[in-house]
Amino acid sequence: MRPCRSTTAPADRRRLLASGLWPWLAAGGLWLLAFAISCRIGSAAVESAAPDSGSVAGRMLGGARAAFGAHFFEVADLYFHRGVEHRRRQALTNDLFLALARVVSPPEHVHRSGSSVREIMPWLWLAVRANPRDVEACLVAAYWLARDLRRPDLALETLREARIDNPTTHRIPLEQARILLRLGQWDEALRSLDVGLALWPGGEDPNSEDALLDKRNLLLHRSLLLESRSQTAAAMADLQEILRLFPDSPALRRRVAELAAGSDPRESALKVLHKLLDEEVRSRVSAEHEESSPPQDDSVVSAPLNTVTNVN
Amino acid sequence: MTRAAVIAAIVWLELLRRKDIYVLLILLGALLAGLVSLNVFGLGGATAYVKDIGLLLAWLFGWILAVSATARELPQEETRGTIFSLLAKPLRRAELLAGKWLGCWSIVAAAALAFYAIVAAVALAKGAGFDAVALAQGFVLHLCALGVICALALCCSTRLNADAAAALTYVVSAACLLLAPRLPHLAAYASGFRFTALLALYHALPHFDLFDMRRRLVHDLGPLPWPVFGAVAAYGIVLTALFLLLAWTAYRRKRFSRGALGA
Repeated sequence: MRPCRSTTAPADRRRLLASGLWPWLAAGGLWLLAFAISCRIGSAAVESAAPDSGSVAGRMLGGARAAFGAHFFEVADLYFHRGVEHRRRQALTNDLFLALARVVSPPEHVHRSGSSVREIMPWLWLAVRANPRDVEACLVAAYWLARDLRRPDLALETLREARIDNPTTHRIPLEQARILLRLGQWDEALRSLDVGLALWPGGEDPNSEDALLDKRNLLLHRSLLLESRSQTAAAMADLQEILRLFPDSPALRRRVAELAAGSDPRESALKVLHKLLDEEVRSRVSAEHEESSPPQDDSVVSAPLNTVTNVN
Repeated sequence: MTRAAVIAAIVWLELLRRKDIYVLLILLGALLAGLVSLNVFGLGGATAYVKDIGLLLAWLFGWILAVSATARELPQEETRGTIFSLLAKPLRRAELLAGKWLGCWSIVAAAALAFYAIVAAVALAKGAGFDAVALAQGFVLHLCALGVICALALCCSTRLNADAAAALTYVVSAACLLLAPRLPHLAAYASGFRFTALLALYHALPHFDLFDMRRRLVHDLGPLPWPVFGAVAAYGIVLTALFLLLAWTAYRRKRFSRGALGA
């Protein structure tokens, strides 16, 4: 076969040149080269967004993959709202074309819920595959798998894979702990919380509001879990650490004082933990509804602390 | 009318010989097969994305086919010199234009029907059906949009060569589809002359977004009210007639010289 190939190859090349195809191939090659270089520039500019730099595709298209991942995440958001885009300011309100367009594509703000949430999952899956270092996409996917789709096993599997690609972030162990706590797998949840606290701040600014809230949640979950196991001293240490971060928390102060006074905390801690998990779900849902407000507003920040107050 | 139909039949034969349609059909089938085979978190049951991407591809391929097929028809006749033998026959220029448009639009419509059939079959195989009435409405409005695009491409090709006409049609139709719906939003942040210019542009550009029922079909929002459907279809017919009229105006007194539009 080899001699045959060697004799036909130059003929093929001549035919290719004669057919006038080579300028198109050259232009395509140059475009691909320019695209790869621009992707590398993008990746260098946003180092954290460059996924999978180990593979050839990752090296060539790192920045583009991050952009694709962000796009797929936006499409998932669009699907969650049944194709309705976020409201934009319009110069016209009573125009014929707009009126027709509103009938063709109704702009009513609706959310998917229950099993219909599965329609957003392909886009989240694509977002995670396109950019495995997009922690937010992984967390959102795990959240919906565990909540509306009632597949905590798949959620934990997704988070396990996400941890391989993002070994330094504390946010994945925190989400794992939440799911494990809901499943009643206390030991595994405690291990995840320990890992999360060991990893915190996970490359984020330790003074940022999000990082501090994550640490507060890790500590609060762990303290309640420890409290339920009668490890009062360790639980109090975690609560005091939260008080150091958020000194204006009278509810927490009262709880620390009660623990110091030696009240039996076992039952109430588990109750608080369940209420806390429910409260977190409610606050996430309300954050989805109030799209104009930031994801962690004051009410969300204070919710778990109020839960502690109410239960006690 | 018979002479226009004969021209349309010749366009059919020529486009079928080119095999562009078969390539696009195979590409659509292959892409949808790839989509269906995705294992999404091991979950299964999600179907809207198949419908969405399938319909998007049907729109994209229909658009490409409509522009590339129509924009080259007249310049090709002029480049080859066959326009002289055509016009030497008892054939009016309006009939030539009508025949070219009818041939291109009808073959693109047939291709779109095949695209929709593939998408519906794949969606059905995945366990999701379309609302039949909504799908029929979406298909008819898609045909209206393709009719407008064919007429626009034909209009551009009366005075430009094939490449320039295709490029101009791509740019204008893409701007109409993507930019026009955003103009009221952009105008909200403009003032004075810019505000007026943006709104004038908004009303002047064809609104292809009105023909796009993909959101209704993908998210199962049901069929359009019939009066609205009728109004949008009538809008498409008026736009098609307008561009065909413009094409005839530009073509009816055009003088030809051999090789003038050589691509």
